[in-house]
Amino acid sequence: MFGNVNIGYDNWLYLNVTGRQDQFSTLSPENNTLFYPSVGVGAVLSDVLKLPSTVTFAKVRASWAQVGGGGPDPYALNVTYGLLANPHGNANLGQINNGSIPNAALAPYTSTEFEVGADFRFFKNRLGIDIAHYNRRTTNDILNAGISATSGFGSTSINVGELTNRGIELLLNGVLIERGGFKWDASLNFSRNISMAENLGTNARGEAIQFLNLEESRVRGGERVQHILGEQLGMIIGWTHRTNAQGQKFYDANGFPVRSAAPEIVGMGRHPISAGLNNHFQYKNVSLSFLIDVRQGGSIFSGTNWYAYRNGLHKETLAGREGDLVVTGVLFDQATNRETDTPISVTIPRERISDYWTAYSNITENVVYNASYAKLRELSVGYSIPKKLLGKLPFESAAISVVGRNLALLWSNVPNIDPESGYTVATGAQGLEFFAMPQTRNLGVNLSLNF
Amino acid sequence: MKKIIKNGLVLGTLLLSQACDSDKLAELNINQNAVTDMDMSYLLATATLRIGGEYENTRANMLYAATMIQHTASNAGYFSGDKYFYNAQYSGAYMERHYTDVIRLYSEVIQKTASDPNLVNLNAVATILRAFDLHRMTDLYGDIPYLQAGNGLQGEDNWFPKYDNQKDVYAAIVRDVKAARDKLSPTAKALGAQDVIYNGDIAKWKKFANALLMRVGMRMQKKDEATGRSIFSEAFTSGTFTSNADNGTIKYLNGPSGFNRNGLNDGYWNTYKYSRDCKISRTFINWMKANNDPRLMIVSGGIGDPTAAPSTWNTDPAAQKGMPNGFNATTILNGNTLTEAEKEEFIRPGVARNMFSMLNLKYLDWEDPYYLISFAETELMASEAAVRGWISANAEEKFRSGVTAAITAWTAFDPSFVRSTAEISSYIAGRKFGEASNPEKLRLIGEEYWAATWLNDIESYSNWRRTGIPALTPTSDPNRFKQINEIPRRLIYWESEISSNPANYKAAVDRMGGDEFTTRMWWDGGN
Repeated sequence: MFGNVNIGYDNWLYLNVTGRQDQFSTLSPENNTLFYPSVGVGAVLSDVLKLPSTVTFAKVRASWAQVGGGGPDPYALNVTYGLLANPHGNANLGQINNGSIPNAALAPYTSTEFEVGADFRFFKNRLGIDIAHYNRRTTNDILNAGISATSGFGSTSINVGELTNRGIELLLNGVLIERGGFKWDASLNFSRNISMAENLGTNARGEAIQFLNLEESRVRGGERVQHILGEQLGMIIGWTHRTNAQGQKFYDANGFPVRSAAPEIVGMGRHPISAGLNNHFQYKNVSLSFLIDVRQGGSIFSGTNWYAYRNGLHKETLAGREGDLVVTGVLFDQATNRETDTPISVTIPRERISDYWTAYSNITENVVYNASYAKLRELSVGYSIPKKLLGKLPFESAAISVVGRNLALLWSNVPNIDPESGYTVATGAQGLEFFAMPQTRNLGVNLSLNF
Repeated sequence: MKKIIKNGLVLGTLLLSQACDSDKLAELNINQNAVTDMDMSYLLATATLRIGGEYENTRANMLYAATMIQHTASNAGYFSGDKYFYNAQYSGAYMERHYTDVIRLYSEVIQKTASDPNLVNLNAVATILRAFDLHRMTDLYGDIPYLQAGNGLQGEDNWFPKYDNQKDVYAAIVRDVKAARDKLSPTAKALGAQDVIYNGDIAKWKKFANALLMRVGMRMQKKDEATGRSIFSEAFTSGTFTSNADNGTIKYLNGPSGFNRNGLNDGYWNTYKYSRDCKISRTFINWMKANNDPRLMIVSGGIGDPTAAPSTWNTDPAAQKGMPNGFNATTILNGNTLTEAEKEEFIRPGVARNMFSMLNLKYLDWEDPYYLISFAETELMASEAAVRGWISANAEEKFRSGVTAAITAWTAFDPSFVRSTAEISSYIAGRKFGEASNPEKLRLIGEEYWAATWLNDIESYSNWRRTGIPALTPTSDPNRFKQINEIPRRLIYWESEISSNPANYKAAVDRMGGDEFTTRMWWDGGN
């Protein structure tokens, strides 16, 4: 059930109120209804205040809204059985279908967002700024969290305590030059999002849950993506090179790097900052436009590079093939599993260099990279065929353009792979890569005809 | 007010959908294509067939146990147990698969049949087999989840199972198996064809339960002899296997799909043919030859290329030659392990490992039985118990019976494996059990146990760790994991558990004193 009221006052002040009650079939009847309201206020200041002539339009807005949702998958609440395709002689074979533990107590999630924004336009609409700040708090978010497979199941759906997302979004657009048949307009958008796992719920013993396991990396060495209490969402955890209090690195007697005692945070799976720049040039009948896409701040665990190190395919593994790689650090005693303070310096023998690089790739932080990048997403050149040339043809107008997409990677820190790679669209796997195919570059021609 | 009404735009849209029927809504969430209730014996059959699954049997049994125990040897790097390499996937495979494929099904059967007196047999057999598989698991890894294993559906507490101390796992196994054994009832509903081991024969299940208890009791001999002895003798008195007809084996078929087939054999031959890369170990062949073992040409398929025609194989017993453990195709030519003549033959084009005795393809069929516990084992265990004074039985009688059973059991794999009574008696007489001293008797029993558990290498590996028999020399490849100087005493835990069950994993590792190949488990002298 949904209700919506819009009220306007004096053509400059607007109020919008909604209320909604949802019932979700994917949740159990005890917990499947949710009510959520919203209220928004907007004021067109340019209509009511006396503003300088350069300001063509000014509007400010604020809103407070709630949104809710249920479990996305149907049939997930019950344990079901299935028969295997073939019997075994005279024996029928049955199986439990669920790979994930059904949670009948799953409740809908609620997301509450507060947003303030402003929309200003200057110089007779030649320059526009739209800026917004939002703060969203989601409670009871439904997540597929990993559990120990020794329970017989790999995951379960649970309500997660409290996650927040706040940030700003900015859109600048303007007509930079307009004279003599030549026009250049551009728009820049920028957004920054900070997330936080405020509360991940409590376990059966009443203790606060410290982390939730999301996707595990395909190399299955213990690296995975987690939501960690008090950190941003989707952190990548893995092994670091074990170091002592003075920051010196530990190596074992063979000269191989030693990994940390337990997995630690090695990066953030998501990019907090994303930005884009769109430019459009027009001269008489010719137009040119290009779009640059930027992502900043996230990290990526590269399974491809992990394999490359272990198989001697990574450029770095050229070092040491003549038996000339020297490592210096502090000795870690493998036999007793103890740190020592004996300095060591080892020249890795030629026959063991492959084991050295394998041990090197086992240190997750060596194959986790800053995944910030910028790409030339689209470039297009177009020509609008003038009416004179169309002549007697039955078209109103015609235009032809050449478009290229994903044309170039402008900057990237990740060797050997595209920093945008991933192997699944599941949100829990953001930041993990494993043998992604390179992105394809597209070139095409568009012909548009109006009748 | 007037201004608002005059200037305001009031857009009221109130949409009232018809009142929702909650029952109809809940019904939408019921999958019409799935079943919420099923005959639990169907799950029993599936779980049992999965014990012999290809993935984990290839890795834990073929790649690790069989080579570590020097039944087989390989020059290939991926046969990790030959040179004590650590491969995370191979080492963790049994743990990775059996909790989700086997244990959770048994746990579900046990839970669903607990309150129905007519289903006691189903409940008891599921309990016995769950204990069997987790016993194997604990013998491979040490402390493992047992009490909470596979019980994810029964509550949030079980989502991150605790690793029980091996001592407690053993106590729980004994408790569970005894209770199940005593519950078996000829009057309750029979299992019939759903039981792919004994076809529903309750008497045999009772014997199997006792055989498992004897195995468990004997395993405790080194650490807690008193308790082990009492468990063993109670089970022995209660009654165990009396002939090869009682052998606890899973009956597989030729197909139609992978589930129906013996997974170990699938890996060794049929689908994956890994046995091209491994040969019979020099240790084992030399032992069989030294004792004129009639099993030599059962175990060995001859010398030659297993993928070539059988007529090209050399099946002369005198010519059989085992591959030494611990080398790759280059290092095998170093030093004096091979004679000069052998080295020359190895380097001949197309020969290499094919100069050594191969596994016999006749016991690697898809429909060949998969061993859980055998009559040969129970007789040999009884012989050892008699020597130790645990039971009053004739040790020599049991020894003879056990070795005979070990040899004659092979006819279940292929009729050509039959051996004459004369041959068998002459072999046993040659072992000279009767006149041996007690320590010698234990050595003879241990060696025969090692030979009797060919293909059930996880069991040979456990018994070797307990007794030190047969005497094996560790291999010393320069790239062996962490430069260990002994044969591994366990497999390393499945690495995924480090991050998915960190608190319990860490507690187990702290209690055991490490998660290494060399960490000793409880019955092996550890914590």
